[in-house]
Amino acid sequence: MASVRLRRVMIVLTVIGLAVATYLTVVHYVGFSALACTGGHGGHSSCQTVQSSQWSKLAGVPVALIGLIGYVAILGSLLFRDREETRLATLGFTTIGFGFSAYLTYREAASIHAYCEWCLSSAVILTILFGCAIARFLIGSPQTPDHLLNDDGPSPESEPEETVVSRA
Amino acid sequence: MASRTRQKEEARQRRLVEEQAQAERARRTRRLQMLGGVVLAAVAVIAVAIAISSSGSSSPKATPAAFKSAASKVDSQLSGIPQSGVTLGSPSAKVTVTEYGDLQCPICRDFALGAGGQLVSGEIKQGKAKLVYKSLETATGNSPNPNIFPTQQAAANAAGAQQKAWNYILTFYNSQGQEGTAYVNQNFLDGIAKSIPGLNFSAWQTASADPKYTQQVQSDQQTAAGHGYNSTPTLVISGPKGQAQPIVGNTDYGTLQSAIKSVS
Repeated sequence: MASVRLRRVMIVLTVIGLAVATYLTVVHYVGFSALACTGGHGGHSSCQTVQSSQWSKLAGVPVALIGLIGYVAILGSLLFRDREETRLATLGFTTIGFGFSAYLTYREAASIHAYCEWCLSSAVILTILFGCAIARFLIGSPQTPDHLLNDDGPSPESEPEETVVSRA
Repeated sequence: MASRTRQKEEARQRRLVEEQAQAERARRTRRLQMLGGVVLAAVAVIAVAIAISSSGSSSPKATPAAFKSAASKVDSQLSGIPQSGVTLGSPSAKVTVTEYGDLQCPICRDFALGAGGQLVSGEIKQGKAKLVYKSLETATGNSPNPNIFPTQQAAANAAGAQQKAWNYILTFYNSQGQEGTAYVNQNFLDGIAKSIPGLNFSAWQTASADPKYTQQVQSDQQTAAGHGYNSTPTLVISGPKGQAQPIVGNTDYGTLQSAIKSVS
């Protein structure tokens, strides 16, 4: 049951993260003057400073857009049938998200000397998601499908059917 | 007989327990292997992303070749547009767009490379508007060397003595380093001046030392303070029909065009 609760918490967090990443992506293309931010830095908002820095893009792609794609991947792995493979995929995506957001937060502190609240909120969400993903993978599901661990492949009668849609 | 049967049953139970324990161990081992594999793969992806990100953090923009490339691009962009001091465009243009900027401000750079560039290629080149640059310290104030502000802004103003102020301003924006770092020094300022086609470097050096250009910077700052402007870029658009609401921060070309139209 802990696994099911963790999954629901993770879905809620991922949706919030997705909203943050979508907002930052839209603002990136609309113009940073539309960015709501409380911090001031050098005559503009601290978010603008961060979003205009050289670390705001990765190989020319805005990191906000990369974050959006990452959250979609995490959400997809959470909404897919609850199996060992999907839990593992969630763990993989959240590990990447956590690691890269930690690096970007380090850049904010050490190189940019300004913080973007939106980016920090996303970093916090990814940290929690990472912790939840580890716990969820290690706990396993209430009906841990041993057959998945054998090479014989799944047997339909023992496969857990719990999905978000069916629980809704 | 009963004893043999019990012994067989006990042996069977022992075997089952052992099989279950083995299966559990195998399951745990495999799970840990999968976990290790995914974490390793994720770490590899993060390492590649950080390597790509960090490769852009070293500043190749402050080399003579990079200055030359940026200055050449700007020269093509400004080709055929008249300049006078810090004014770009026809002096008789009805609309005046005044930009309050800080050469180290990344938002000013974004504006210059985006909507500002479109404005130059459009209304400025067509003679419908002229662009005037004024200094307002923002980002430089947060750098390790805020005292460089009057010098760097005066460097651009001094290029205006040779009708190259906007070449200097736009080459600076194109060569900008990371905000909050000490990338601007005399070598950086000289490097830009040396790279601008048609700019007499020694004449620019002499002009840069002229206090009238730093006084111009101070005067710009006082004007900005008088109007309550404290962000860069702040764009003030005025024309025959008056003055539009100042645009603060980066903006899109459509907004600029609307504001120009409203005062034309």
